Amino acid sequence: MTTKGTLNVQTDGLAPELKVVGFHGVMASDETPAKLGPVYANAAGCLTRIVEVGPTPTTPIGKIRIESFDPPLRDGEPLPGNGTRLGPWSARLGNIVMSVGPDERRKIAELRRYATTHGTAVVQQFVEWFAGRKLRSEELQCERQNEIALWYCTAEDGFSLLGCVHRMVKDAFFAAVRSQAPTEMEEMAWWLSRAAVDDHDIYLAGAALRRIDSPAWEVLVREGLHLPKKEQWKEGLDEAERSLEHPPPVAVSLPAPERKSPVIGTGLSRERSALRDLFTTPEAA
Amino acid sequence: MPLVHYPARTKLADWSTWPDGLLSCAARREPVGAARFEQLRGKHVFFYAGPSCYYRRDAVGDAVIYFDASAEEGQLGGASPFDSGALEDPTPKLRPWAQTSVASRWKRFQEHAMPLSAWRARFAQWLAASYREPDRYLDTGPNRWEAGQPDQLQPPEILEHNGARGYAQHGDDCADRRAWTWEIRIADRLSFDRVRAVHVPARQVRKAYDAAMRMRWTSGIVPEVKTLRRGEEATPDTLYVDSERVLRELIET
Repeated sequence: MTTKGTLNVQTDGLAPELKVVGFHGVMASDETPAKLGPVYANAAGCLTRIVEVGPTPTTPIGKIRIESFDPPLRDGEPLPGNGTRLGPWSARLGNIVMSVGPDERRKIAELRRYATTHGTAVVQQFVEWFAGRKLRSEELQCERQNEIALWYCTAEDGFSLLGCVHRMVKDAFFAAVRSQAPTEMEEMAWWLSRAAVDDHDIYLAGAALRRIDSPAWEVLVREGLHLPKKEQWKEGLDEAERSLEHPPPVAVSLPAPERKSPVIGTGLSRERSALRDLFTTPEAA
Repeated sequence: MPLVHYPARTKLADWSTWPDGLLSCAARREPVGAARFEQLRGKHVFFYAGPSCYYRRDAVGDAVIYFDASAEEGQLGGASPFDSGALEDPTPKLRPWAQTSVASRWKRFQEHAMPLSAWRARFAQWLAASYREPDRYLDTGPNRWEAGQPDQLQPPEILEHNGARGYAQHGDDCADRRAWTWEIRIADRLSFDRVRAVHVPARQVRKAYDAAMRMRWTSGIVPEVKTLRRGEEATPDTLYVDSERVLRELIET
């Protein structure tokens, strides 16, 4: 049975009558970093979907319109569908679930360095927790499942974490490019595609796969950018090739310069702000 | 038009390794009831000729498979201009017949069913008759009661009591775009020899590519890999919405 109604939401986004009880999908340890969508339950433990956030013609300010689905989930009961339990934590509109895993853990020294120089204060705390062994932090709202760390955080903090991971991955990527070792280049290309913050990263990853004669490069570029025609890729790939020909020197602890993204035919290059928009969950849009 | 199958109960990592492809319940030697709708469901593999609009709250599938039209060659089966599940589900939705007896609903199903060999010609006629712009058939707006709704349908009661008008009267207790998305049924089983595309979340692109290469190993045909946008998780809804893009790209190439 479906129950419809409204719940309160505070000015800070906290929805006291909602809990986060999971996320959509199932993570594998070779699929990080990833941004995941939270799954909610109401106070009775029934899965709940946020339909809209007020103010709208039908939902007042300070309220969210929801649908809840009976019966309540039992403790430990798996989510019905393609989802994974976590938490429960207090729900806050706009928050997301970020996941990092063994690939990022292996480079924890570099990740710590970038969190210090580029991460928010909360990201720094999360990375310190991630570097440790504790299974859970109630304060940070994060937990470990097998080798994967799952963090229920604001979109801003999630994007900041991705930015730190991205810098670390890019260092590793160009180290592989300089080494010219095909296996290493392949692994780093796929990792960069997952840690991508703009289109140039997808072109870099695709160009690297092309260099090692991996036929998967076209799939990565076409689907990573949703640009179906090869002629739309030319400028981006040319720029990526120039970067591969002249990789940056070994990374030092300096802020990265702003990089201008290329314009690619009819498919407009997404700036970092557009990627940031992808971190905005629908209920906060 | 490709045939679209959403393995709602299985994940890519599992079904992509099935040696025999997609199997009906009967082919898997699972029990199949004697009732006519149960026989229909149990002895066929089901597809949409259109967007992947299957929905179950507890669907775990994280991928959609698109089969080439040539997959039908040599196969037995049937087709209908709507999802038969909308007549047959435990809570049927296709009004005005949803509230009638099973026998009446079966009769309605039979009136509209056709053999597999006949469906493409009939589909082309139906598109031309139902839409001023047949291209709209592929629309996957998030409102499933409005997305791709035809301008007219035979019988007209379908649009009177389902879709946007149905929702205005009955809420979600009527059929959504499953009332006008064609259903294709292939008897017994369908191998992965003619997979045209695999559709997954972006973070599974490498796994999907590997699955596509395995399929190529047995068939010689390389399926394309399609992914959702970065950061978008695979749910029946996200895969449904993006299936319009995938279908348009597959049909155009």
